[in-house]
Amino acid sequence: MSTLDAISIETEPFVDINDGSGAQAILREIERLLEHLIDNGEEGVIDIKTIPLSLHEHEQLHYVLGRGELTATLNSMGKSIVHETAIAGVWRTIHYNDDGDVIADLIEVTTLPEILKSDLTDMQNALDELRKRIETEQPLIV
Amino acid sequence: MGEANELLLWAKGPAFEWALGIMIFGIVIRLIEIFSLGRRVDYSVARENSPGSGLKTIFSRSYKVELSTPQVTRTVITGYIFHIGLLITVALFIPHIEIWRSIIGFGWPGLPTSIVDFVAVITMLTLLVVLVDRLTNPVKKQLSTIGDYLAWLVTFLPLLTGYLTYHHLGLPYTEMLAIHIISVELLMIILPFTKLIHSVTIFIARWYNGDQFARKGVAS
Amino acid sequence: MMVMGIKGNQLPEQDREETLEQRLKRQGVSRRGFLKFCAAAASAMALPPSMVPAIAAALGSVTRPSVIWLSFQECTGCTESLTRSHLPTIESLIFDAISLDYHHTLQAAAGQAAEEAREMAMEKFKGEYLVLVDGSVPMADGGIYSTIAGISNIDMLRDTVENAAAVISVGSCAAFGGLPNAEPNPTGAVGIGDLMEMGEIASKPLINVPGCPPIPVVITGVIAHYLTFGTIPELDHLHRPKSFYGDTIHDRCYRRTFYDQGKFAESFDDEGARLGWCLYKLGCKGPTTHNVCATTKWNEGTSFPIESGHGCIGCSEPKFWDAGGFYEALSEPTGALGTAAKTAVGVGVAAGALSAWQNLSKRSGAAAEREKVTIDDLEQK
Ligand code: SF4
Repeated sequence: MSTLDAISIETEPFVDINDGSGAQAILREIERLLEHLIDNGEEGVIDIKTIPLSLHEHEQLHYVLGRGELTATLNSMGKSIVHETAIAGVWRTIHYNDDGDVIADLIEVTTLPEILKSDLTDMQNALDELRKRIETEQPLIV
Repeated sequence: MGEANELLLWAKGPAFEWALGIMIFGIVIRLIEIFSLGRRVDYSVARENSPGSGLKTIFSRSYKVELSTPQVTRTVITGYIFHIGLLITVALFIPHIEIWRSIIGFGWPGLPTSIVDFVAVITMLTLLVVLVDRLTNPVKKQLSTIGDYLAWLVTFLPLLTGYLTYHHLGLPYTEMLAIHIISVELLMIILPFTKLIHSVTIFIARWYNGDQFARKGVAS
Repeated sequence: MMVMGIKGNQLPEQDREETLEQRLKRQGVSRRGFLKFCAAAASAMALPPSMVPAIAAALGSVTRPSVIWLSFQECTGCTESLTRSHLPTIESLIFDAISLDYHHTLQAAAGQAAEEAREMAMEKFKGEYLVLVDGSVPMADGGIYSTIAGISNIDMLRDTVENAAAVISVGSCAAFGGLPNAEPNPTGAVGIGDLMEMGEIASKPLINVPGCPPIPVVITGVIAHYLTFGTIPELDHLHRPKSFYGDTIHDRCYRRTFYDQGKFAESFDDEGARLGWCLYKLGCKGPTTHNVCATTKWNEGTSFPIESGHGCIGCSEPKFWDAGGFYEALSEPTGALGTAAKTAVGVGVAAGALSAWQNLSKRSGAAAEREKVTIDDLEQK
């Protein structure tokens, strides 16, 4: 037995500090943003990655918001997942990089997140592309 | 670059060294002066042999107080509050205990910060009452010298700057902390040379009085 | 590693004119991908996500600036940190977005060729290039303690900063002098800001990104900000971007509740340490340290020193090496108190004895000189 093995390894129980009210504060903010969206049509967004939340607070936040009926996946520079929460008008967007690390975690209060909409320039280019395809009757490889 | 940090380092380092040195120097020189004055030999026979009387008086003077007039009552009560408040903030705030530990080598348990914070506010308010009293009461006003006001100021400033530091008010924390430490150093330097020396001499004076009274037949 | 892709390259002219968005498009990144990049960039720059459209607009219009990265008295920890940014998307885009014309560690060119690349960039982009510096500059003995290609650091810096658009000091050494500047500072090391104040180099807009090393995403975030908006973010009095250095570690520390309750770990293995209590007594410098470790964290957002059970050592503050022991409470005085106290007692006793002697002799003198009054004297009245 090597000397290293002689040292017993103890694992400490994970301590999660559970007396913060971060989730409550964010939920109140979402409430205000949703009210604002309904009244004025103005959108809002919160970056939850930059807010210090404990594991417990995170769980609490997403537990309250729940999961809605719509989920979209985007594959561009890594994956992104956009889903509506059980609260209509409140969306969660998680961007991952190519390695699968979270690079942005947003709560968007909007009728439809910007990133899901088709872009005007993209559409203009696509129109040319479509015309070309109709003529040649075959897709071009971009 | 980094004046704030340099100020803090200076305050915690050389400035504190000097302040502590000057305070100890001042206390030592004043004690020697007092003791070296001496007293005439008392040839009379002591009335009563009461050893512990001096020691007892040190404490009894703190609770056997006669509240004769409203003015006295006010003075005694405010006096009590701010002295206890000072003691709590100086000796029971945990960062302060760490300073004591580094000077005398040991520490003791402290109080939660929120309690010390509350006590500090009460102490400051009481000190303001005491000041107003000194300024408005004709007798006290007559008796007060510039030294008394100076003593009040150097006692009040550490509380105020400490409060501002803890609550991140006024200046950025690092600057405020430096200023707080410097205000305490001011207190330390001035202490031996004003009436604030009573924090040391009070025990000697009470002991002496107690002992003398015992000799004269009024032991406590 | 994707950093290898940057070769200290001189870009063809038309590439320099291209905006980041155009470039991404050419690489087949869609508008959505671009928006995603902007969202990640906002997060990295500590900007509110509502700024994403502004970022997108800016990135759609700015072209690639030339960057010269100078490394002086340093340990390469800052560059190591940067290349471990856990937002490789951002990082690669930054390297895509800038033309890194000179960087010792990362460039392919060496020796004469490398120095030429620097001089060419300086010539061509006079007044437009960005200078990044890591490491302090030795000023003692004519700056001979650190040279590159026979040029002393101060000479190279003076030369390069002269026509720069702005300077970013990466790491505590470049920002404040750092470790080389620690007592007794044998090389006379100073930071870039000090050199500007001393008038040793030209005064240019300066951003300090201190830390030993700085958090990778903070480095990329600051560079991204400059690249995106072409402006300097809002700075504090030490030239640090407020978005990253606005709060102290203590302000954002998850152990703060314990600090307020007066629950402190007394040693690294006691019950308090196990329960995650505040590390103030164990020397935590969190209350005087401005940085984002507590929220951004390290190693892909895994944790930060306090979360790992060790107090903050204050590495992003000036003079942190000399700011008292890492394991001594912040409030503890740093001087030699024992000596001060003993000396004071000694001097006090001596002075006290002197004054006592003076008082006594004054008294006995007075007694001796006192005129005696006799009954005759009184009767004469
Ligand atoms: S661990 Fe440090 S930063 Fe956190 S609360 Fe305690 S003193 Fe403040």
